[in-house]
Parts: sequence; C-alpha cells; structure tokens
Amino acid sequence: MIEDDILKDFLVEAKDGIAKMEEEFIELERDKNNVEILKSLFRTMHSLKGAAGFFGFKSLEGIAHFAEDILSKLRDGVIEASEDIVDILLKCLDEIKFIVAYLEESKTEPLDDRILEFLVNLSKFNDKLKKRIQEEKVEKVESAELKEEIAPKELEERSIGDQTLEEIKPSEAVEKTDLPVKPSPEEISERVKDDKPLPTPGIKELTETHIKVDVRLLDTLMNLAGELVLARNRVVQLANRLSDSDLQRSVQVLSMVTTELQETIMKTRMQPIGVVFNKFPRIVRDLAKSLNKRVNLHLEGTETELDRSIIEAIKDPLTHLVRNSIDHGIEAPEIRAQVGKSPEGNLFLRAYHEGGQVVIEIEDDGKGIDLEKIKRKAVEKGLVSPEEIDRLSEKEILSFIFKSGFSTAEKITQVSGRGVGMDVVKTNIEKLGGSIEINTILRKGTTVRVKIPLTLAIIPALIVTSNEQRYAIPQVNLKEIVSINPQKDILYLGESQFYRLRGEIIPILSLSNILDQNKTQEEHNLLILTTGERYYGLLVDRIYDSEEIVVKPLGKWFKGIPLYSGATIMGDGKLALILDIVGLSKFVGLKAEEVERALEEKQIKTITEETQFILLFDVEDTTLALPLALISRLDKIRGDKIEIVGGKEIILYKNKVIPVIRLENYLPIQGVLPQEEYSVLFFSEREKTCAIICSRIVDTIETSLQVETDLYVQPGILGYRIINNKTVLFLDIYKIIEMYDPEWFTVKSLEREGPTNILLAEDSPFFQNMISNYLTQGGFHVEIAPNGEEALKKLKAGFKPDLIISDIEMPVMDGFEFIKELRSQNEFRDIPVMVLTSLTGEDIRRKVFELGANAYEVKLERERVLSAIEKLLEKKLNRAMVL
Amino acid sequence: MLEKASIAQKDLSRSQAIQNTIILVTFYLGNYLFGIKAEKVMEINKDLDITPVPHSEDYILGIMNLRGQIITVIDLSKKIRTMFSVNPRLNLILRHQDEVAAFLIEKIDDILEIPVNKLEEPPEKIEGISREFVEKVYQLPDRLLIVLNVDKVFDH
Repeated sequence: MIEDDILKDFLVEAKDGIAKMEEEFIELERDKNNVEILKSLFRTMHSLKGAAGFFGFKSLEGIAHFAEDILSKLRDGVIEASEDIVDILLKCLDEIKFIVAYLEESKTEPLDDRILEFLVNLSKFNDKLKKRIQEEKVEKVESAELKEEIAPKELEERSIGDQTLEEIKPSEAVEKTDLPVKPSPEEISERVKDDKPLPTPGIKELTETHIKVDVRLLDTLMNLAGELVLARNRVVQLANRLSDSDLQRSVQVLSMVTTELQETIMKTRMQPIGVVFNKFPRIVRDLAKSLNKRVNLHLEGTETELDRSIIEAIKDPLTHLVRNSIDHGIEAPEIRAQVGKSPEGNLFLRAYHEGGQVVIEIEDDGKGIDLEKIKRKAVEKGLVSPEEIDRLSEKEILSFIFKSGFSTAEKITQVSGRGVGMDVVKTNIEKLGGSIEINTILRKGTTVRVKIPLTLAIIPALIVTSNEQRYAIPQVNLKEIVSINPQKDILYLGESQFYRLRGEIIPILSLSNILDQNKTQEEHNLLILTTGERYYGLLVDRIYDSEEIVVKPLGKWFKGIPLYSGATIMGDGKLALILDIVGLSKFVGLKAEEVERALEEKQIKTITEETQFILLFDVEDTTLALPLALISRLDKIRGDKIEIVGGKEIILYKNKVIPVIRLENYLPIQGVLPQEEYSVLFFSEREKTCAIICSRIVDTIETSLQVETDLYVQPGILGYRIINNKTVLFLDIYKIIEMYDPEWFTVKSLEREGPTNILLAEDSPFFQNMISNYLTQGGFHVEIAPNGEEALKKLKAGFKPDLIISDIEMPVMDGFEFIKELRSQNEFRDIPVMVLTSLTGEDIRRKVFELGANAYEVKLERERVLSAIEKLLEKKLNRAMVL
Repeated sequence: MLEKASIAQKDLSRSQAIQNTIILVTFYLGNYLFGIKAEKVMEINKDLDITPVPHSEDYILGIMNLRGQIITVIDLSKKIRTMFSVNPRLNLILRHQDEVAAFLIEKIDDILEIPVNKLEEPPEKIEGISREFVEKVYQLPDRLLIVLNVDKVFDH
C-alpha cells in the first residue's frame, strides 16, 4: 500500500503537469517548430513517466513512455509535428488524465481493456513512425551527409523504445499491475538527473513564488478581516472621544493596516478568467474538428480577475455558448468561401471590466441568427401570435432563444443538443446576478455579451436612507441619480407617479411608501434604477456614499419578501438591508396595473417600439390626445384666475404670466363651457410656457401612435383613432401654437443658402405629420418616405437631400437595413443620417452608430432634434469647405 | 449566564450517559416559566440593537448583528401567541438546523436537568398560550414548566 501523502503529492503534480501540457500542445499546433515548448513537454512527460514508474503504475508509465518517445523525436527535429502525431499525443494525455482521475478515487490503476488496446495502438503507431523516419532517412542520407550525425542518436533512442515495448506487452501489463515493481530511488533520481536539462532560471523562480492554499482558509481569513474592520471602527470612534493624540495616531495606523489587510485578503480570492479561458483552445479544437469546421480562437483579457466562486460557476454557461457559436454560428469552410469569408472562422473570447462588472463577450463571424426563422418558430410554438410577431423588436425576438425548448437548428447535432441550454445558460448567469444579451447581424456574425459581478460576496452599492434607516442599492441596478423638486417634477396620473427623464416617461415609487413608513420628510432624491428590462425611479430621503458592501444572507423568515436580497454590516456595526431592485418592482406591480389594465382592455401590446404614454382629455364633447412627454405639467385652475391682458387670456401661475390657448379657436370643435375649475395642460419649450384649457383629463394610456388619417385631418390635427369606442383626435400641438403665435418657435437660426432638403423615412402617419411639421417650421423642405425601401427609391430617382432622418422600426425595410444600404453605396455614403426613434437604449444607439449613422435622437424632443440637425448640417458645410 | 449554558452543554453528555435526562434552560415570559433544550442555546445577551425589516411577519422584530453574522430577532411572546403583555429585555439566541435566531425573553432563570420520563404531555388547554408550541410540561414544586417545541418556534 502506497503511503497516502506521497500519492497525494504525486496526483497534485500529475494534474498540474497535465494542465500545463494541454496548453502547450495547443500552442504547439500553432507553432509547430517551437523547440522550447517541445522541450518543456518532454520534461513534463518524462517526470510523469518516472513518477508513475516509482509507484508501479504500469499503464500510466507505458503511455507516458510512448508519448515521451514521440516528443523526443519531435524535439530533436527527426519528425514534424503533423496532425496525426499531435492527435495521438492528445489522446495519450486524455488517457493519462483518465488514469490519474481513477487513481485519485481508488488508489489503483484501472484495469480497462480500452487502455490496453490504446497501448497496442500506441506501439503500432510508434512502429509506423519509425518506418516513416527510416524512409525519410534513406532519402536524406542519400542527399545530405549532414544528417548522418544524428542517426546514431536516433538509433539509440529507438532501441530504448523497443525495449520498453517488450517490457509492457498488454497481457503482461495486466499481471504486473498487481506487483508493484519499484525501481530503486537512485535509479529514479538518476534518470531525472540525466534527462532533465537545466531549467531556465526564470521558471525556477516562478515556482517558488507560489504556494497552494486551501480555499476554506481564505474564506475564514476574509470573515476574520471583516470582523477586524468592525472592531477597528469601534476603536476609532472611542479614540475620537478620548482625543488623545498618541492614541489617535496609533489608531490611524491600525486603521490603515486593517483596510489594506482586508483588501489584500479579498484579492487572494480573485483569479484571472484565464483559468476558464485556457480550457477553450482544446474544446474549440476538438469541436471544430468533429464538425469539420476551421476555427481560430482568439483570447483577450485573460488576466481579468473574478472571484473564484464565480469563475467556477461561469465555466458551464461559457462552454455552452462557445459550442453554440461553433455549431450554429460559424459555417463550414466551403460555405464560408462561397460567401467571401476566409475559410477559417474566428471566435473571440473577450473579458474586460466595465462599471464594476466583468463583461465576457463571445463573438463569432459566422452566419448570424436568422430572425425570420426565430419568428416562424415562435409562432409555430404558439409563443406569440402571427399578428403580434411583426411588432416585436429585434431584441424581443432574440429573447425567444432563451425560452426553454426553443431551438432553431434544423439538424439537431450532438454538439449543441436539443436547444435545452440557452434557457439554462440564462438562468445560471442570472443566478450569479449577471445578465446576458445577444447582438447579431445576419451573415456577419453574433456577439453574446455576458455581464457578471466581480464577486458574489462583495458588491458596490449606494447607501440611501428612508426614515433614518439605511438601505443598500446594488450599483449594478443604478443608472443615475436625479435631484428633483417633488412639487414640480412629479407627474400624477391617478394614484401613480411618473417622472419625465429626457422625454421618456418612467414610473416612480417612493421607498418610504413601499416600506409602509410614514413620510417624515419630502423625498428629493430620485434614483433611476433598471431591472434589466425596464426603468423606474425610486424616491429616497437621503443619499450617502457608494460603498463596497459584504452581502450576508437573511434568515428563512424573509424568503417570502421579494424586497431584499440580503443585508450588510456597515462600518459602525449597524445593519442595512440590501434592496432587490427586481423584486421591488414586482412587489409594487400593483402600481403599474392601472396602465396595464387599460392596455389589456384595448388589446394593445406595450412591446412595439412606437408605444407612448398618451394623455386623453376632453374639450367639451371632443376627446383629444397628446403624447404625455410633450406636456410639462398638468394642473387645475379656477375659472376666475383667467385674466385678460392686452386682449389675450393669461393666467398667473407660480408668479409667471402664462398665455392661455383655447383649442376651439383653431379647431372646428365646441369650446369649453364656463366651469368653476378647468384642467390645464402646460407646454414648455425653452423659456416659454403656454397653457391649454380643457374640460377634464380623461385618462392616460400607453399605446402605439397609429392613427387614421382619412378623416378630420386639418392643420392642428394629425389624425384620429377609436379608443374605447370613442373617436379621439390626435393634436398637433406645434401647429396649434404656431397658429396662436406665429413667432413662438422662431429662433435665430443659421442663415442657409437656398432651401435645405430633408428625407424623412417614417412609417407612422402620426410621426410623419408631427416631425415634418416641426421641420417645416424650422425652415426645412421635407420629403417623406414610409419605409427604408421607398426612401432608397426616392434617392435613386434623383432626390438629393442634405440630410436623411430615419426611424428604426419600419415595415419592408427597417432603419438598420436602410442605413446599411446607404453606407454601402458610394453616392449616398456622405449624406448625414440621423436616427430618430422613440426607442431608447444604449445597445440600439451603439448599433446605429456602428452601422454608420451620424446622430441619434428621440422623436418627441423637438428642440434637441432641431439643434442636432443644425449641427450635422454645419459639419457637412465645414467638410465641403475643406474639400 | 453564557458560562452557565456552556457548562450545561458539557454536563449534558455526562449526565445522559448515567441517566436518561434532558437539560433545559428556563426563562420567564410574564408569569410563565418556559424551558428550551440547552443544546439549542448558543448564548444569551443584552444587545437590543435591532434593525427593522419592513413587511415581515408581525412576530419578527428585525435583524441584528451577532459578531458578523446576521440573525433574525423574534418576539417570542408574539410568536407563541401569548395572551399577556411582556417586557422583553434579553436575547435568547438559539440554533436550530442551520438557522440562528434571537428570541426576546424577559428574565432568565435556572438550568435544570430533568429525567425524560418525568415529562408529561401538555394538558388540553394552557391558559394564555397556544398549545401547538408546547412540547411537554414538567411539574415543578411551585409551578408548571412549559417545554417549548423548538421546531414550532423556528417554524416560518
């Protein structure tokens, strides 16, 4: 019986050796003549053989011996590292791995026919190799005398090979495994001494600077460091009270050392992501081979560090994603050649830090994901109705991939399985507090972006208070902080509160309300939070610093409360609950219910791009509608507050004189009858504000802005729609205000020579009218096309715009496709393009800029759109002058 | 008091070897004397710095920091639905399976070693307490000792 300790040491060393060799073999394939690697491989294999011999592990020794033999030939340049040789060497490595794993479990070698068979194959292969060398040598001897010098050495080597071959004949090997044949220790040391070439000094130093430490020890150390920090904090407080300068100085030192100690211990748990990445060269190689594909793997950012628990947890999801890329993404070499790509596909594995998180990208230049195919499949599987599917955005369509049982591969391959997977990948990543997104361009490739926190135990968080209690909000969920005036900036719609953030309406919640606490003070701080799917605002009392907090779990009594994801101990030893931002939004789902109920009734999905919050209001018996984002404020005023000054109606509102507009003066509708109190909509632009009088506010709904234009259209009305069995007129507020005061929008604009032409690609008549109206007011000539294709036709027919404005979501040819077309054609390449959308999101913004757009604005932000246009035109002018 | 508990735990194994007994830590809530198995008791302390957790059950007082571990603080009298009002002053910290929680009690009393065969089934009705939390009772010379069912007390 072998002593356990020694065996353990052997196994640890063997595993290290295997891992090292695995990397080196892959490296070798790339650089076949790298003698350094060959030397190193030989050395490792040789030590393994020696140690296996010492323990009497015959099959292990046998395999290692053959491998060493082949390696020595490679090292000496007798043969070339051809693919079959590398293959067999890798197989050797696999068998060695298998045997070592078996040894670890049962302390004896496996008696497996497969291994014996493999040994036989190995010896045959070795014979073949020898023959090959002989033949080559015959040729070479004839041609060059130089080679002769090597021959004796080779012969010698071969004889060793032969001898060992005799020694472990398969049948014998089985018998011998039971009898530990121990070579004498001297023999071993001799052998080691003999063959081990002097290691380079650099390598030697490296091994000495690292030691192996039990992970549990590190965890304990980290907990202790946490305790120490708390104790330190108490001491600091006490010292401050005593105000003894000597004491304070030493406490300061204690404090610094403690912090440094804590940080250093945290670092010990960090590992470079290369630990995982380095497994991929082998996986990719094997996979590509079995699928007859050629793939170049590029690893970037392998030094990026992550907590070891996360490293463990992302291994499987990443492997799955890599497999998907090779199996479904990268095409076979023939096909790649046909479409003009290099026969070798490229797969990038990239890791980098971004905002306290680690981003891992898996990018391929394969065929991309066919959205049409996913759409068909989604409809087939009944996940969505055929009518709805066309309204879905690209992101939403791609999200079907993460539904369980969803696979678009026509052939089910062994490699990627049956589409069980992506859903599991997503859940696993989300469990880590991470997120996953897919970007794809058909025929160009796919990028999967996985974002994960640096560590599970320590997260950056913003500390806020509500009713003097502190709460931690994970920084990952925090988009921005806005200081607001609750009186002015909060829009009330029924019970719900909203805030207008750069044109986008987002629901807001109050932390003290959610936590059922009495409001002790006005909440002035609005945090804009994201759940990954939607934004919402959270009002809090006070904001403290952002801190790294240690996440501690809560007891089982709190599992049913979705509001918290744990708690943390603050510097003063007191506790703060960590808010679960996703859970919070679910918890108060009731608040959004009103909006959603309205939507259900009207059977309008919220998911299309063009949805907007619409305010419905009555002017006597006419119902009118306006996008809520255009209204700066809603209020009620008493009838007697309306004064007439200089022949115009005005109100005094918050110490300002605000002109009053009555819609009936500009539209053929019945006017507001005298009431005690009127509802007023305020419309502000730059410094100017006007008030529109109406009888009452009806509702707010989130809906698409599809309007009919066959009736009612006239200056001031963009179109109509039936909502709740009532005709609703959509107001063109810009036109109305212009009718009220033609000078209202006049700004000193740049002097332009001649008319400036703008081509507007936009499918919704509502926006067609609204945008072209405000562009015309701005002095532009506007040509409208209902989609990308029609716009291209106009261009080809000879329309030469100074600027193109395009929507994204359009039928026939969408904005992405349109920009791609524009940028690929010489004659249109230099026309500036502005993307105008109601869709906001960093990924979309990035995508349109990647495609070659020059600007990106939100439709309802008239002022910003106009100034962006000015800027684009100015730039164009400058460029023209330079040219 | 902490020492008492640890001595009790040491005694536990010795005494069980001799005779089949259990060791109970006893304490008061109102006029009622309760007992809980000593092996469940981690410590008793006076720290009442409790952080409330909004939206938790009414018998949950919040959480507290026990030397780096965050534990749940439970108002024991509310949990076992006593009908009388109490003035809790101490944390009786119990460990059960993997959970640790502090239960607020009024006054700690003795540590008793009791032969198992002297424990009796609780009567049909115990005035002022919900019977489901009572595992056994034991008649002391001057009063009834109510042995609490730890499973139930830890129940969510």
